[in-house]
Formats: sequence, C-alpha cells, structure tokens
Amino acid sequence: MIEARGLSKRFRDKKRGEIRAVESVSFRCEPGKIYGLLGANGAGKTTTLRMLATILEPTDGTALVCGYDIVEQPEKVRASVGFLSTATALYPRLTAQEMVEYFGRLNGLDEPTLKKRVDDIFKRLDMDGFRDRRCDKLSTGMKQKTSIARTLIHDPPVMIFDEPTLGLDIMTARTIIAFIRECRDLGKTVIFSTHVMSEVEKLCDVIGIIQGGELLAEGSLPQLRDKYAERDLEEIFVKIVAPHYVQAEAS
Amino acid sequence: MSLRNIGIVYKKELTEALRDRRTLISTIVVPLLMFPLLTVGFGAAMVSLMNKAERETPKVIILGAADSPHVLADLKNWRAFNLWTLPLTGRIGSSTKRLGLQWKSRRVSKPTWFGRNRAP
Repeated sequence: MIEARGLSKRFRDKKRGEIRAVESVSFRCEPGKIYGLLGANGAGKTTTLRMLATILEPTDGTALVCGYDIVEQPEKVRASVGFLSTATALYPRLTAQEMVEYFGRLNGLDEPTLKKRVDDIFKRLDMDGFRDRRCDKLSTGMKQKTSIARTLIHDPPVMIFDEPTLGLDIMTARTIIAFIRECRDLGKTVIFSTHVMSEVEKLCDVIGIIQGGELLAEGSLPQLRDKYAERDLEEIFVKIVAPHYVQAEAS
Repeated sequence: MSLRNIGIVYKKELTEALRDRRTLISTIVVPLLMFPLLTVGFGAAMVSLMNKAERETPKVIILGAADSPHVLADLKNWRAFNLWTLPLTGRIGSSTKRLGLQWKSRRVSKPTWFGRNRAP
C-alpha cells in the first residue's frame, strides 16, 4: 500500500532559480493493483517515484509505504520496497548470483533463506544458465533479469518501476511486462511510470496523469474514457496534458 | 549503518577489486617489481660510488722535494698519494700553470685553488 500525501519536490538551479519538479501530489495505490504514472518527459514521474523509494527527500508533504513514513522511517520503507528502472546499474565484476545475494544480505536475509530464495528466483526467471557469469559479460536482457532478481530477493510487498522498458527490445520488454503482472497477481502493490500508452492500457488498474509536477487526472481507464469522451488513451492524455504543456513552454 | 552491513559492503568491494586487472596490477604487481628494483638499484649505485671514491688517490704537491729525498722516498713507498714534485724556485712551466701556482719574487705563493674542495 502506498499513500502519497501532498508530495512536493523543489530544486534550486543557479540559472533557472527554483524548479518545482513535483507539486503537492497525492494518490493511493492498493495491494494487488497496478498504478500507472503517465507523463511526458520531465513531468515529474521519476522524481515522485524516487521520493517514494527514499532516494530523494520530499521538500513538502510525505507518503506512507506499507504504513511507514518515507521521511521518518526511510530504512523500514527501503526494506519493503523493490525499485527497478532501466538506469539501474549492476556491479560489472560480480556474477549475477553474487549481485543478487549481495542485495539479499543487505536486506537482512539469513543464509539459508537467501540460498532458497536465490534458487527459487533464478529458476523462475530462467537465469540458471548465466548465474555464474560476470555482469559485464551479460546481454541487456540478462542484465535486466538480474536487476529484476535483485529487486525481488527480499520479497518486498511494494514494487516501484521507473520506466522499466525504456530502451529495451520487444522481447525483453515483454519479460518485464509479464513480471509486473506477476507482481500484481502475487498481491503486491505496484506503481510504475511510463510514457508508453500501450503498456498502460495493457497493465494499469489505475492511471495517474502527471504534467509539470502536478497530478492532473486520475482513475481507471474506463473512468477516464467516460470523463473525457474519448476511447483512445493517447487522445485522452493529449486532451489533459496539452493546455498545461503549452503553458509550461510559454513560462 | 550496522556493522553487519559494513562487513557485507567491504566483502563485495574486495571481491570487485580483486577481479579488476587494473587494480591488481597497480596495487600488487607494480610495487612487487618496483620495490626490489629500487632497493637493489640504489644500493648498487651507492656501492659503486663509494668504491670509486676509495680508489681515488689524493694529489700531493711537494715543493722543494729535492731537498728532502728521504721524505719523498717514504711518501713514494706509502703509495697512498699521487705525488707531484716541484722545485722551490724556477720558471713558470706547463705543470706549474696547470696546478695554478704562481712564482712571486722567487717564492711560491698559495695556489689559486687552495681552500677549494678539489685540486684541478
């Protein structure tokens, strides 16, 4: 369960002054459901997700992740969150197995549990063929699988995906999509950001549309279709975002 | 951060470093070769310099040696010096010029290099 309450993030930039990356965003993600954060580049998706994962500290507001406050109990939040993005790097000189084990240990798993979980995950993701290969020798797809295994090792109840399919080929992207669905079926709370409409249509139970750091619309796909009298999500998205997009350009 | 986590991170960093060829070469192989090379090299250079200094015989100029043949013979027997003999009086010749000596009213003055570290 994720509950964002007025999350805001402002950055200071020498040239541009104060930048409002995220402005008082509030939403709820329920267990067993996928929440899709849809927005253009620079809309504030990544900043929002990073605040939820305690990588960034909010300027204002807070969020509860599994009942833990991201500002006051960041360690508890981190233990209950799995964070995956395409930018997630692996340690090049560790093997896939060592990489996953490392994060398992950091998350406080004892050795027998860790061994069992590693075997289980490697089997499930079909990774046994390259478990002893160094990460710098892996293909992009293998690397992505290793990243997934890393986020899963401590069996977190909340999964955060930041543009997880960005720059991946169709086969690898499908693995990720299948994996996100699996997380939902396991009853995990899933939030993910993207600007690929088809992914949102396929996956999301609830869609939040974000632009200029503000959450402009929220609801399930049928709800949004009714409200904006459009069938195509892309059209709905443009209808919602376009006025604000022009505004942002002008200012 | 707990002590356990520090241990986990330390172990991971060590594993990574030990698998990096560049780190291995710069931290282990290079010092392993360089230290003996430097130690032996410096030692050998020092020994050779000392030997050269020991082999070098000091130059001694004896003025008026003809008047003291015994002293001259003893000094020659000693073989520790490179002996030069000059008469007390005489004309300026090539050897006296070379040694920087000057005859002043039939007496020898102090050589110009006297007091410096090395004779010419």
